[in-house]
Amino acid sequence: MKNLLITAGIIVALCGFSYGSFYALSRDSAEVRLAVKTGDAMEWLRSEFHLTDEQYADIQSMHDDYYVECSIHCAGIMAAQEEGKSAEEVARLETICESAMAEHCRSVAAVMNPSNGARYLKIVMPRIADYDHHEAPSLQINR
Amino acid sequence: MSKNDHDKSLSTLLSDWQVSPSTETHFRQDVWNRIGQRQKKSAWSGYLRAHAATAASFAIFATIAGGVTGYAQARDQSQERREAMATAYVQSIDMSAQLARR
Repeated sequence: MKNLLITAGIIVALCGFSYGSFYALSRDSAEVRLAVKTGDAMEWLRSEFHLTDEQYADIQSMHDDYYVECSIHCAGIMAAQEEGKSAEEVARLETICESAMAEHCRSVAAVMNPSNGARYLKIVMPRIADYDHHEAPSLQINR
Repeated sequence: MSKNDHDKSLSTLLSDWQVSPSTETHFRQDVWNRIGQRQKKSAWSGYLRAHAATAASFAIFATIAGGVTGYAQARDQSQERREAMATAYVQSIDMSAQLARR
């Protein structure tokens, strides 16, 4: 009985060691985990897509430029909704906004190396496609 | 010296010879202890040899199961984090989403 327990204990330890080894080797890198822990989306982008400092700076600059463009689109949509313009007009403005964001993401992907750029688009584009402009941002703010 | 004389002196010498061995009071106990320890050491290895095939099968299964579970859990966590961070990233570049979060 004692020998059986010793053998079982060694097998369980082997199982635990194997689990720990594969878990440690397969999980995200320390940089990605740190970015996730701090909730820093840009740091996550840097570590997830292995950006160089130069690529990161370029993308940061592109985001800053896009932010201005995005605010113009958002203001247009909000104004159209508040002025009670037709649903078609609001939908048209939303389409313009979504297209601009998709184009911006394609530009960001072009800064990355091809494989990371493709992966970036695969992750980000569905979120833009699912993006919901169908509620007025002013109403969302009031929640 | 004749052969008889030689035998006689040898007999006298042997009869006068006295051996006084040192006394080890725990000799017997020590011997049994050492036997017991040797048996303990060899018992598990003997057991393992007797059940080598079964033990090896379980060990291989446990190693594979542990590895697959560890890999799957790490991958799931990674995927979950990626989903959350990708959403946070898209929101970070979208002004209306940021306004909505305030």
